[in-house]
Amino acid sequence: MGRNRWFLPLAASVGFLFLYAPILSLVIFSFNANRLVTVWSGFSTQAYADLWADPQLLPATWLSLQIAAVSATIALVLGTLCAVALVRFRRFRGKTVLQATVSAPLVMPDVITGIALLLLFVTMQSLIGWPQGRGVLTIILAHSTFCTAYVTVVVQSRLADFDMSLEEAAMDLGASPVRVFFDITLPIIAPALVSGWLLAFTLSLDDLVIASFVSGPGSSTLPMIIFSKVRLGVAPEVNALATIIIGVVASGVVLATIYGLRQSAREKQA
Amino acid sequence: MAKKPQLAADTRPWRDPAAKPFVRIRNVTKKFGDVAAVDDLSLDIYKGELFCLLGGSGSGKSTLLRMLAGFEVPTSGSIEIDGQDMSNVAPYNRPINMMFQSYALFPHMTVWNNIAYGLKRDHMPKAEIAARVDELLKLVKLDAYGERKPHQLSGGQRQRVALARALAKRPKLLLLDEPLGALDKKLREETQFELVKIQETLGVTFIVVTHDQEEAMSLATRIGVMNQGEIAMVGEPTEIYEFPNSRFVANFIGSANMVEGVVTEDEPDHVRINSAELGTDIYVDHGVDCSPEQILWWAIRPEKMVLTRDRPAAQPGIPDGANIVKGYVEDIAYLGDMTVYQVRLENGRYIRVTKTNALRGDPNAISWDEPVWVSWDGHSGSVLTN
Repeated sequence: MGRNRWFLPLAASVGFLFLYAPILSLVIFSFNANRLVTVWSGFSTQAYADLWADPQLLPATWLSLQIAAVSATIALVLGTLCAVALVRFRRFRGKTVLQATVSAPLVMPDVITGIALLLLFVTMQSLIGWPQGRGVLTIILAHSTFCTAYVTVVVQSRLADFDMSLEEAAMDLGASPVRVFFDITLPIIAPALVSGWLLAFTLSLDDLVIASFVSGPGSSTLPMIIFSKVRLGVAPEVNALATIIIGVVASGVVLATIYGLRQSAREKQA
Repeated sequence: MAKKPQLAADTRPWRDPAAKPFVRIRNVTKKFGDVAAVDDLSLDIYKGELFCLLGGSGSGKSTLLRMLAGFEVPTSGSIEIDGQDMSNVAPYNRPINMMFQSYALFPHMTVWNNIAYGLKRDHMPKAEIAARVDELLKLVKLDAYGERKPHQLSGGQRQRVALARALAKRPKLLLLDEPLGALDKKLREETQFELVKIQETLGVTFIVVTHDQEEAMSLATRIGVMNQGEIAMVGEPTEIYEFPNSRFVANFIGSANMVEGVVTEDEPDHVRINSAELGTDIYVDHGVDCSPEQILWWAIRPEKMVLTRDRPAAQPGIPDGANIVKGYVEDIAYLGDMTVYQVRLENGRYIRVTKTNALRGDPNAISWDEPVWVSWDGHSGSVLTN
């Protein structure tokens, strides 16, 4: 037991350092006065001012957030329908095929998905004239496609644990099938829907490879802009933007944790 | 047979041929693929009854219950409740409520809201809902627990919430699927009596599905024993236990020693059966619907046999050599209230005899490897022809 007294804190520290040292250095260098990112010359908020004035970064951020929100929402609807079909309908023709094809994008390399979607969009345009060219629409279509797979997996596992007799009990007490869905099913699977949506949102916001294939002029997402900027050397305003995003995410996580702790404390009290 | 004492007003409508059944199940069959879970089953259940459907797993009892609730549609046949055909009535429009085996309490709602859920669906005025829910919480002794969530309750409390929720709409018929299955033994015994008390107070007709015969015996006004999708026997608990109509029922309910025999005397007032399996003659002191030379079965409950060290004096009316057999005590299981003796007969067959332990720590109790005599009365066993 004596060994644990120093071993556990040490292991934890090394782990934390490993995970957070890069982020910490990024935050610190976002306040660097020097134009050269790697040379510290003093504290300054110049990078934040540059970011505000940058013609590309903020619009791209806004575009990426919009694309992520729309794609996640489409993926949520499609993925939930898929999950319901896979869990609730006992046997139907093509169930195994659907199950396999739904989870294929999880393991498919992004490059392949990107090329495949690009080819599809080009062919579709020449055959039916839609979608016209490549841009925001094609990125949204591409992102909803691969995010659907993730949502399906998340919602499916929740639905599989769902006790069917809950729905029967509600029906037995006089609730019509539609009421049952909104009163019972939806509230119970809501956590899975929320985490499925968040996962899809994050994946879409994060995606560089697929977006590069299917985007067109004037529809560069944030990862694409950052990537192209970094090729010319890491710009301080990118550090500033990253710091702001980290700040938003971190405070979101902290707030959610506090809320969760309060909630469980209240439940224990009752 | 001892005559049963007659009550002033008989509360057993099933004995009255003119009584109108409340639930009428007629020739109902339910097939899943090629397998018939319920096979051409007909059954009448009367108002105010506490009817138990008793059967092993796969006997079709739960399928029958789910058809009554409307979750399964019969492949053929009809179900009538209170004179109304239920074929085209959706589960949410039936005057029935069900208590689920898993209780199916809504995890995201408080106890209070769980019980109120059905009343809200009926658009009952708020004040009335509140009054009804409070009344039900009192009935199941959970007044102080209204604001809790189901996961903050013990198993017994959850069971009572489920019961209160199922009773909230004052259904004419309540279906209970293994209502006590998830409780431990002590709690189950207490709850059994509570359940009967509530049923009698409210006068609701209960149909209970169970695989636990003790539960069925103590709860039910009548029991329907199910086997392979069919009703093997319907009757009051005493009838089912004392006068089983078939080998299946005799074996399924309680334990029984069952032997094969051949009818040697068939008279209107008695029957004599020779059983090589038992190694003796069986004298039955009442007439049986059979014919000479017919092969049939005879079953006797372990507690209806008498175990003695010395050969008992011949009983009046029973011919010499019948209803008595010699054996050795091979094994003893002491259960506290009674002792089970495994007796090996001279022909090698084993029979089970139980003896109530009326005397505390009896020093004279029959012990291992003792030669013993097993004897029984002329009306102790049941003659079974199918």
